[in-house]
Amino acid sequence: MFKTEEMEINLGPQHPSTHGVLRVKLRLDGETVVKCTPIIGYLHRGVEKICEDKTYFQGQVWTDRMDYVASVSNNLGWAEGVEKLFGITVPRRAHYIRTMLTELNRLSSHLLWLGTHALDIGAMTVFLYAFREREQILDCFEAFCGARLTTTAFRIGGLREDLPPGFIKQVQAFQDRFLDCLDEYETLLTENRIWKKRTVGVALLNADDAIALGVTGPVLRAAGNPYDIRKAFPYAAYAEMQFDVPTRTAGDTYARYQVRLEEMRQSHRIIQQCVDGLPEGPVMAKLPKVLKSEVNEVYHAIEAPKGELGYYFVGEKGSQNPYRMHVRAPSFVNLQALPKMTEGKLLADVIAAIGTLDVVLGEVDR
Amino acid sequence: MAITKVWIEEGCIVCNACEAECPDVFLVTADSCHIKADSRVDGKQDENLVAKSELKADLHRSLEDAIVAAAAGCPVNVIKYEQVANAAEAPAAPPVDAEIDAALGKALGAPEPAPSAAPAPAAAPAPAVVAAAQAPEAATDKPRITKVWIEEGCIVCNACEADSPEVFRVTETTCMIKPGVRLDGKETENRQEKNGLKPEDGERLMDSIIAAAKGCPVNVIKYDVFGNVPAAEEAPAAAAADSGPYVYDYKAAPNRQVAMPKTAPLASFHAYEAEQKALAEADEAKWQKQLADFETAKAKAAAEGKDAPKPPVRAVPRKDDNDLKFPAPTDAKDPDLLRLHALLGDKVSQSFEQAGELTCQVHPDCILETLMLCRGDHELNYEMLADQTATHYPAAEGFDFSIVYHLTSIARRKRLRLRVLVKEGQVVDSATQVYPSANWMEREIWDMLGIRFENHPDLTRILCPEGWEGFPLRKEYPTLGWGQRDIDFREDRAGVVMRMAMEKAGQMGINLVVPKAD
Repeated sequence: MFKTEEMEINLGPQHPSTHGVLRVKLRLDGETVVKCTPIIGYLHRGVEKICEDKTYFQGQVWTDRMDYVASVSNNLGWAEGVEKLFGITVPRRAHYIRTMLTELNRLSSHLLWLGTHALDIGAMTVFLYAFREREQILDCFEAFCGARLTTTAFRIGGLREDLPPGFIKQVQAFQDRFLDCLDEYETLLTENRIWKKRTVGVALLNADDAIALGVTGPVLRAAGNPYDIRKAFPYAAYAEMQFDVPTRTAGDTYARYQVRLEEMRQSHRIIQQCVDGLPEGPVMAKLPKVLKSEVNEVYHAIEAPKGELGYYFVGEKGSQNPYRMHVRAPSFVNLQALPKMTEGKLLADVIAAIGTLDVVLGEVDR
Repeated sequence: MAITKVWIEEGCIVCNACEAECPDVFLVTADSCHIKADSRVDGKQDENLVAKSELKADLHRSLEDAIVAAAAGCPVNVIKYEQVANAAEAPAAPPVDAEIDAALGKALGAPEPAPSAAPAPAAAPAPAVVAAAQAPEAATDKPRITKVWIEEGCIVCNACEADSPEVFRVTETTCMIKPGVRLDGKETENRQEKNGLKPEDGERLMDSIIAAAKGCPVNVIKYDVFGNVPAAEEAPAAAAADSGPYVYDYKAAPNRQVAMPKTAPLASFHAYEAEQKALAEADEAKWQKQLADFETAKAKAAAEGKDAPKPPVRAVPRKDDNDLKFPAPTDAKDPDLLRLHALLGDKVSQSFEQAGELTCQVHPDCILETLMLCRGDHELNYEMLADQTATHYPAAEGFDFSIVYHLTSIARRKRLRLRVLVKEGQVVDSATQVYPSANWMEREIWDMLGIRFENHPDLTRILCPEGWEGFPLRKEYPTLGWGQRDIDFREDRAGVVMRMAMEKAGQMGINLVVPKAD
């Protein structure tokens, strides 16, 4: 007669598969997860409080440090949110450049996800391939703003500088070979038996649960709901771009993989349109050196690589600082779905679930 | 009184304040501020600092208030103007016709009209120059502070600026007496020159300067007093200090107060319906008239044997192009807001549109009902709670926090903001029953602002560790920490700091070397 007993273990906070400092408290019955409790806050820096003491120009620097693999998206959300607060109209060329850089950033974020996710599940090679292309994108960022990760790429009202000479050529060189690279990744994974065993039917989340839990981004689209803020509430130059929103209905890890790979193809399309149709003109709107707001609230959301990234600003009359700044971080909200995806499943699938949610702990904890 | 000249001295920070006050005269460009050409006699457009051209005479009085307000509102006080004391003796309205006549007459060789017809501005009495910042000399017999200066040893702790922000400005390295209150208008520690304070400021700011001098931890703020010093009141900071290390008296340093997010009065549903009906009827009548005109024109053309005229095209009402230039709130005309208003009635206290966003403020008791309606009602159908957060308004009357819910309707591509205003200690119904995504967001609100939610499955701290003291996003929680301090052991005469540092280092197993005194 065997006596069975439930066991409680901690996954993380220092564990290579948790991508940072996520701690997951797991109650296990053998290898089956009975209860899963994510515990966060190890990287909490109080960005929202800090930004109350910074001007609108200074606060943008802090957004780089939230989702540090997609800092350009964070910058865009901040800049557009502040522009909405003050009613600033950005020149069309700046919109195009912003769109191009944000899509490049989406590629780099998805490439990092692809590499680390495959690494977690056991496919070592993809990581090296994905980082090779990511390096090329980061070189583009470096040419544009001098930084590779913490970019602070945009300014409120447009861009600080126009594109450097040779930048378009650099992007075009990347564009020319990227589709072949994507095919290369697919030969490694898409029909790989081990990959499919580890991902098909793993960490299921259907569309109703996803919406109820506020999950957005590729995770929601892989469950069959084509909610993409670039289409639903167009911002920057997305209204002028031709692209599709890829969806799958399976709602499992494999579907999310397919959706993200297809999204990279669409991003490639958008970047090409930005390069081809880049309008001439100024890149900075006319705006005063000192921004002062009336009391006013604004919520501006953009489609970050991880999902809906929203900035909520409360201005203050006569002040240069936001009275209140709140970030609706996609990783924070998406991570809520982890128990739903893993309870009753195997321990090894928790690793796949964390990877497929694509959380960045800097953004979860802020 | 009338303003004849206005100019901008050097030092403009291009802040747009003046253009907001008086757009007829000031034009703020990317790098400087100009007096507009069409308001000036010489018709040029620059700062008017050198030319000091006159304002057009018809603007002398009409824009007086606006210019005075702009000069007063200028944060660096560079807007100066010349005011003619007596309005009756100010130059008369511009004799435009007379000038044109004169010019014409000159061209035609006619004799110039007599100077009495158009009194030259030179004939007006000498205008009294009134600098914007200068006020009449205050009565000097009242007690006031004549001088204030900062001796050596300032530790740049910001305490004086908190007590008396009008007098002290703390920079990275030192503390200054602000130019606005000094007679010489310089900004230094005032240590050597010991320049005097402006009398009216010395009187007005007496209490705050004394408080700053008392509050200075190293006692380097000194002042000279004229007259009797009022009995020193016990500083209220002492009471605040008892309540814990993270609390400071918000009301005593009211430099960041927002009373209320911007709102607009609630639109009347019936008035809106009537307005829409009238608009539709007017549109229909216009269309019918167009059709009738077309028929008559057609008949006329047929009778005359000409080509038939083009049939009319009904104009489609122009869709709003989502222009973000007007973030000012407008009346609620959105069908969703009106629907909510119709369903909830008096429980809606405000609803308006601002910057293309819909806001509906409801009574806190019925927030659960509202959320259920938003999710369940077939016309509203907001499936997702995208975001929930709260803001602290300690200066507001009647409430302390606002909680906002950002709802998204994915099917209808629409967003709605719900807002409730709650008091300190008030418990709000948790939204988790309607939208499970509220779970972590409400935990974050509890963690950061200390608002409790009823029926929440697990209302514990989420970002801060359990047992954390205070709620960081409240306004009384300090925005800045103590910062990094470099300890100079040579200044530490009593050796207290050094002993503490050595002890700490010993506990951590660090072999700290004591620096030798010079």
